[in-house]
Order: sequence, then C-alpha cells, then structure tokens
Amino acid sequence: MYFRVFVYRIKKNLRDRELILWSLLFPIVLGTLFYMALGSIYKNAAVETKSVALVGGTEANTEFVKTTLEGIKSSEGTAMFEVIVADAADEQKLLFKDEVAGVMDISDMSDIRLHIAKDEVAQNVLAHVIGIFRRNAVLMQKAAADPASALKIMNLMTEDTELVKQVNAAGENKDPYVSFMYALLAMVCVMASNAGLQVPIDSQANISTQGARVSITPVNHRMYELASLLAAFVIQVVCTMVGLFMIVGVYKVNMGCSIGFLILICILGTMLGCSLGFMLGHVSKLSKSSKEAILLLFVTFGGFLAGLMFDRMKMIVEMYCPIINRINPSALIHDAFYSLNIFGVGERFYRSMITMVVMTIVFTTIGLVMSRRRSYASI
Amino acid sequence: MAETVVKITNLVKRYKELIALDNFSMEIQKGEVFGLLGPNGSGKTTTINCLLTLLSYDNGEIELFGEKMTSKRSDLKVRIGVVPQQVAVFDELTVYDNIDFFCGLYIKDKETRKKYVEDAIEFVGLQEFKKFYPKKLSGGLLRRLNIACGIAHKPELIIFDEPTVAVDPQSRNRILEGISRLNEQGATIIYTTHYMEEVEQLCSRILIMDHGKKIAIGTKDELKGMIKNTESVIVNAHGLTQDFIEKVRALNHVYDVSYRDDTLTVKCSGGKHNIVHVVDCFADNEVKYQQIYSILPTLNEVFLEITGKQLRDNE
Amino acid sequence: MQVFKMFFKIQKKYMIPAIIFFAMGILMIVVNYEFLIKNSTSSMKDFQTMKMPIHLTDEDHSTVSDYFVDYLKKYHNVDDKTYTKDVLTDRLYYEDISSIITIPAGFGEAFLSGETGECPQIQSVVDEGIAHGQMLNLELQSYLSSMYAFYHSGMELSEAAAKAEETQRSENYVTIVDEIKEDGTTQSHNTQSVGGILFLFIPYVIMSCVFGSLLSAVLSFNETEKKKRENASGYATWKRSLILAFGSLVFALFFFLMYVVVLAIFCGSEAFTKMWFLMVLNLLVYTIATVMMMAFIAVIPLRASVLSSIVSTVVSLGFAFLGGIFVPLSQLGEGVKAIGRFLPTYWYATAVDALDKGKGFTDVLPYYGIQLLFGAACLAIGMALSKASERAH
Repeated sequence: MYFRVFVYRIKKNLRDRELILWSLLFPIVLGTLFYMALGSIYKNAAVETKSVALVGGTEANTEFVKTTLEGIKSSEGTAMFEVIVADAADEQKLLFKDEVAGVMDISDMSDIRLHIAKDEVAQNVLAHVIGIFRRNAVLMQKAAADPASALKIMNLMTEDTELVKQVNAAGENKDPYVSFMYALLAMVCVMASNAGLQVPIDSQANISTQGARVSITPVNHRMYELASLLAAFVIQVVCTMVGLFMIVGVYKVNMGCSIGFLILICILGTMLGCSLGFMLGHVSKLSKSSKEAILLLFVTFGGFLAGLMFDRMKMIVEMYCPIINRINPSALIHDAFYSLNIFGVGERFYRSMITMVVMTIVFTTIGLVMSRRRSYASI
Repeated sequence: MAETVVKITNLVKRYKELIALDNFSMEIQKGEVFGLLGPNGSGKTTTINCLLTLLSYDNGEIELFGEKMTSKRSDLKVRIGVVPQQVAVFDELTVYDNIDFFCGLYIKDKETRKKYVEDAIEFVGLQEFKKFYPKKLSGGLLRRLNIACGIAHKPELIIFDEPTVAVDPQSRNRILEGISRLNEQGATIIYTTHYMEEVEQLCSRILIMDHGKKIAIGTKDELKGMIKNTESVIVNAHGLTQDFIEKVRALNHVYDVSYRDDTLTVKCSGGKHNIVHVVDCFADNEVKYQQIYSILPTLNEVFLEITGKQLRDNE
Repeated sequence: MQVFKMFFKIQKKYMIPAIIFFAMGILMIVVNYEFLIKNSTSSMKDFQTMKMPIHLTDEDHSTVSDYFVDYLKKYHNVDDKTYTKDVLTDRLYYEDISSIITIPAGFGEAFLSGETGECPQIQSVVDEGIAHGQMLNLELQSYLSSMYAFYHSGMELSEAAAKAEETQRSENYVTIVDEIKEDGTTQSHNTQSVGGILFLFIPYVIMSCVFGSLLSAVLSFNETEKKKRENASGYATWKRSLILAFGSLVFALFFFLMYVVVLAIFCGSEAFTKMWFLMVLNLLVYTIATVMMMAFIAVIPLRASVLSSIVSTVVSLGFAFLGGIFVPLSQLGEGVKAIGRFLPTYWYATAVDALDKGKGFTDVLPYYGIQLLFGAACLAIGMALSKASERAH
C-alpha cells in the first residue's frame, strides 16, 4: 500500500511541472552564471601579462632589466611582464591612464625604485624581482672590494638557495572560487526543503482539504508521510544531481574530490533539506506563508552564512559563533565539500557527514512525532 | 429493530468563546438517508468533523456502528466514506489516478480496487473523463470526481457535506439520483445542506439545527406537522373591500389574512382543503378573482416558524 | 486609492521575506565594515606593511634562527603558543593564520656552514589557494637568501641580517603613488572608500527585497480571477497597473531610505560628501530600475510563492555575480563583462567604482542612464507581454 503511495506521490510531483521546471532550472541557471562569473578568474589571474615601464636607465641597464623581467614566466608558461621604456615625467599618465603595473626607476642600479598605483599580485612579484637586483647590487660592491672572493660571491648571486620550503595545505583544487560552487550546491540541497514542506501540507487535515481526506482514511499516517517524503526526496535528488552534472560534467569544474563523494554529499544534503521542510511543515501553529518564510531564511540567510555571497563569511562565523556552522545545513554541506577538497577523507569530512545524517534523522523523527494521528482543535 | 449506525450523545464543541455544538445529540439508523439541515454556521460541518475525529470536542460521546469512535479506530474508518464540502483531489493526478489513489488507502487488493474504481467512475458518469486532469473539468464534473473519491471503497456509511454547492442543475440531479441509488444499495447516508428542496426530495429523516443545537427532528411530514400553518391560499383579485376581507378572516381554520398589491394571502391551520371554503366565500359574495391556488408549507417555513429566520439568511 | 490600499494590505502578508532580506543586508554591511574595512585600510596605504598572522615553532634556537624570529616578530603577528595539529590546520583553513612556520633543529648550523642542501629547510605550510601565504613565503625567502648570500660573501651575521632587512623590505624601495587631478587634488587608487565597499552589494538586497516580497504581492494581485473581477468592474487596466507600479515603488523606496540611513551611519565622515550623495543617487536609480524590472518578471505566470522565491533567488544572485556585486568587476573575465554590460548591476558597480576613483556627476550620468534604460525596456516588454496575454484570454 505504501509503495503505491510512493508511486502516486512521484507521479503527483512530476506532474507539478512548474515546480519541477524551476527546481531544475535553479541549479542549471545559477551553475551556469556562477561558472561564467567565477570559472575563469583564477586561471586568468595566472596568465595575464602586465606591462611595466622602465624609466631613467642607461641603454645597457634597461636591456638587462628588460630581459630579466620578460623572462619571468607564469606556471602556465606565459610571460608575466611586458616591458615598455618610458620617460619618468609620464609617470602619472603611465600609472593612471595606461594602467601599467608599475614604473621602475633604474637610474641607480644599486637603488632601484618602484612606483605603483595599487598593491596587487603583479606588483608583489615586481617588488620581489627588484629585491634580487638590490641584493646582487650589494654583492657586486662586495666583490669589487674583495677581488679574492669575487668568484665565490658571483656564485652566490646566481644561486638562489632554497631556505624556505613551501608546503601546501590547500586541497586538490587550489581555486578559492570553487567555494562559491560548494555554497551553490549546498543551497540547491537546502532548497529541497520546499518539497519536504509539501508533504505535511498534503496530509494534514488542518492545512489542506486533501490532508483532511487522507486523515479520515484508515491508513497509517506516519507511514503515509514517510512514503510521501521519500517520493519528494527522490525527485529533489534528481534535481540536485542535474545541478551537479552541470557543474562537474558540462562545465568541468574541478570540485577537488571524486564524483562518488560528490554524489554522496549531494544525496545526504538533499535528505537534510527535505527533512528540514518536513519537520517545519508539522509545526501546526505556523501559517503556510510563515513556514515558507522560515525556509527562505534557511535557504538564503543560511546560504549567506555559509559563504554564498562572501566566501569568507563561513570563516567569520567560525571565529565568532562556530555553533552556527555546526547546525546551519548550508554550512554543513559546504563544509563537507570543502573539507574533502582541502583535507581529503578524514575526521572533518566524517564530522560533517555524520552531523548531516544525525540532523536528518532528528528532523524526520520530530516531524513524525508531531504527525501522530490526532484531532485538531479547529480546522 | 434497525441497527444504530451513528449515535451522538451530548456533544459539546467550543471555539474559545463561541459554542459551536451545544449538548448536541442524534441517532441514525441503518439504511436511512438522514438530512442535517441548518443555515451556514449552524454546526453541521462541525458535527461531521467531530464524527470523523478530525476535530477534538470538549464533551460528549460518539459511537459508530455501536462502538466508540476515536482517531485510532482504523476498523471503523474503513466503513465510512466522506464527500467533503470543498473538492479535495490532487490537481496533478488524473481523474482515474485520484480515485485509485484514495481508494487504495482503503483497499489493499489490487483486483478488487481496480473493479471498485471502475464502478465508482461509472457510478458518477466520468467514463469519458478518466484521463482528464481536475483543472480541465467543469464545476459539476469536479464535484462528481469529489464524490467518486469518497465512495469508491464502497463504505457502509457515507457522509455528504453540501455536495451540490455551486453545481449546475444537470449535475445536481445526477448527484441526487446517485445518492438515492447508493442508499438503495444499502448504504446509510448523512446529508448536510441548506437546500430544503434536496432534503425534501432525498431524506427519510431530517434534523434541523441552529446555533449548535437540535431544533427539530422527524420525517418531513412530521416536521411540517409541528407548525401552525398547514396551507396558504393565494388569491389574485382587484379592489377587495375591508368588509369582504373580514368575512374571509372569519372562515373556519383561517388564522391570518393579508391583502397587498391585489394579492390576498390566507393562512390556514388544520385541514388541507381550505381552498374550497375560500372559493365558496368569493362565490357567495359575488366577488371576482383572476387566479386562486393553494401552497403547502415548506421546510423553510418550518424553519422560519421555529427559529424566526430564513434558512438562507447567511448565504 | 482603493487599489492602492488593497495592494498594501496584500503586501503586509509578504512582509516576512522582506524583513529577512533587510536584516541580511544590514548584516552584510556590518560584516563588511568589521572585517573588510577595519582590517584592511591600514595595509592599503603603504606597500607591504600588512602584518600577517603567523604561527611559529623554533626547534633550532640558534643565532640564525634568533635573527629570523626577530625579523618575523618585527614585521608580523607571531603566535608561538603550542597547539594541536588539528587546531593549527583549522586556523589555516579559516585564514585565521597565513602560515605555519617551523624552524627545524640544525637549520642555523647548516646555514652558517653553507651546506643547506643537506639539512632540513624552514617549513612554511600555507594554503596555496590564498595569495597571502605565498606572498609571505616569497618575502621570507628573499630575506633569508639575501642574509645567506651576504653572510657568505664575508659579512658578519649581524651585518648580513641588517643588510638583508634593509635591501629586501620593499617599503624601502616601493612607493604607492596617488593620482594628481587637474584641480591639484590627489586620489588614491589603492584604497577603497568605505562607501565604495558598502554601497556595492546593496543592489543585491534591494533586489531580493523587491523580488522576494513585492513580487509575491503583485503576483497575488495579478491572479487571473481577480483580474477578471476587476475588468468587469470597469476599472481601467492601465490605471490599475500604474497604481500598482506606484505602490511597488513606494515600498521599494522605503527600503532604499532605510539603507541610506544605515549607510550614513557606517560611512561616518564620508557620509554627506558629494561622492556619498552621488552613490545614494546611484542606488536610487537602481532601485527604480529594479521596480521597473519587476513588471517584466511579474508576467511569468508563477503559481506558488515557493516559485517566486526560486525565481527571485535566480535573478538576484545571477545579476549580482554577473554584474560585479560580490566579485569585483576587475576580476571578472572579458566574456562575463560582455554579458554583464546588459545588466543594470554592472552599470551600478561601474558607477560605484568610478565615484570611488573620484569621478564626478557628469562622468557617471551615462551609467545612471543605462540603468534606467534597462528598467524602461523591461517595463515596456512586460507591459506588451501582459497586453498580449490579456488579448489571448
């Protein structure tokens, strides 16, 4: 009997074309927009060639610095800088009209100066290169003063002793913007709460006429609701998967973990979303519009706290009120993706997953307890 | 003696200050078509909802088929069918699927259910609309679907809560005929409405209620017998004199005479053939008239006389 | 008047979403003010004076490591307390620290002997996805390798350390230049005004308020049944639409004003300056354009309020990301900007950016115009579509 309820609820949900259409469009459209807006930032930042102006140098010095700068390649193999030779008097024009990354004054090779308009990655790289010039200038003076050690000193100039070893703590995908994709998928999962909310609406006598009709049948109310919830979940999980497929399959976004884990997180996340709506639907004191507003709070505000709009938001919450990150469904789902990317399968990932499962069970149980067959004071 | 299907004793239901049911009692026997008559807000639907355990109540007892009815009595619920006032079907399921879905909540066996669903569709005459979605149905057809969903599992007690509100005459007749047929097939019917014509046509026994109280109960003839007026004679005549009107007033059984806009209304109590005496009176006094006819009292008049207000007051 | 009153009665029912979005906007302002503005303004004025939070473990305790630790403590915020590995990883993960630095035992000895190839190097754990940690490593490598080279070129260790600090600290040779305007005033391109940051994302919350709450009310008003009843009443459709639009505008302007008050408080000394007023005007223009946009969206036949919340989320988030609201326009690719140019958010953000760079009213006037033009186009399409659908009925 309950299998039939499940099948009919699937049928009913599928027929609700508007809801299905928008539930599908939501992840597809936003996934596309996010990909368009964020997908290329990280890659572009690495390959963009910036121009640098050299002023005040002798021909030989200019040529030397130019060769050095133009020899700097990004990890993708493109040149980081393109050098133009200019006049120091044009500094304002160069910086604010032509928007060069910096103006290098090389009139004194032992004291190279850099003028910049803003402090960004390219300027930092330039400053580092100048640091090497400045170091070598000191060494040159030293070598001139002490011809006996000149050879040894010259060797010191060319060898760059690696004294600091950088260890990466970032995960498989270093692109920080992928965090927005995690937040988006988390939002899609939590959005499933709307489908969960519909279950009690269709089965409670004090909310809908259909609910009244179901309430007077001899059917076990809790089993009926569970079958309906399962049907809602199946439909929603398909919608979430479509979103995931768009992001991973079509746009080839590197989510930093294997597809199996991504699917698992999406399934648990959608379950959590559905059960949240299911529980809320049973709070009989609230009107339907208040319930929808509360879900909106979870979806949008929860998404905001999980970093949907500002990626650092979750960290700020973690610093000042970490408990919110432990119970905010969006933050939990986001954290599952993030921890998997950064730390791989481990304690943190398990903590997120287990919390999600426990919350799903708690929400569903609360809903079922509240749905015990009862008579209403008024309908 | 017939089996008692419904027994409500001293039912009290309060909504904060408002008393919706005030020590309300009634008994319905097997095989009856029981009419529950009253204006809007009189407590009809509240009674039904208490009976179905959808509403909790403050005091009183409800027994169905001789057993106490509670929200957990699945065995009793299987024997009841309800056609609610508002259409309660899923817009996203077809006519067939809706009936099959609700029937399936009662009947587990697939073959039996299939047959029952077909029977219900045939019963309400929706064979041609099986694959239609509710949104494509007219108001009358939608009401019929609503009925089919309530009766498909062949219940012993069927409750119709104003099933003909906003229905075209053709569908209304079909619905009323259907209810009679269900009764003939053995179902006990509770029929709530504020249309007395329907009650007069259908019901074997009628209960009139107002303000949550039982006002009168009986067959329609019994109810009509409860009031003073047994017949009204209406005469269209021009220029009647006060003298003549007084003569009419003096006739046997006449208790009230009024003359307005060339129409004389003569109200009589006792006897059914008072028109003869009025005709005689006109002939004896050589007064001419255009038309004369007699009206027997309706339930509305019964209601008016008992409560002092029209049944459709609040409509 | 009847329609106007009725509209506000319906609108009241949809106030909760509006309040949620409004509160979210306020929180966004507070968060940005507390975490982006307060923490970063000092670092923007001078090059590389940003003190980075570092966790340090010195297992070496040699003269070399002492010089290095002194350097770190002088220029950065060093935390050398002992934590578990998990806590440290967590702090790195949430950018609470930029790097976890460990100076291994024997480092100083190897440094002095010149045999660094064989002994452990200083380990710096950073999140390579975040630029701060990598820049820090670049700086530390410059300092240490210079000190190394100077020492091995014959300097005393103390002299080598001092010279390395002198030559490698970039504030000694990098200058941030301000733009000198024609009127002789200067304008920094490296600092963002408080208004430039705070005004930027208000369109998102205005859009969410308007679409998440107002749209539901308008949709409820537009339900065909009600429309039919009104059509029968002989109330002119255009008049009704006009009053509805006016009601929506009044509602949206209420939120606009609330935000202006909040922004005036947070902008502090920047408030009520010419730039601030132009930013307020920019926001006003955007608010009006958003209300006009709604006329177009309201034509989509949305049955349930759930759907209107989905649609409003898609539109407001989409517009925000493509228009440079949450991710600065300067970071967006050319392709995205090409699409963004068709959205009012893009021109809003462009105007904020221009005003932030000291541009005046005449410079941003075209941006205001494009926003309004976009709104007007939506309004026209919306009205045409609703006319067409009315005829179809």
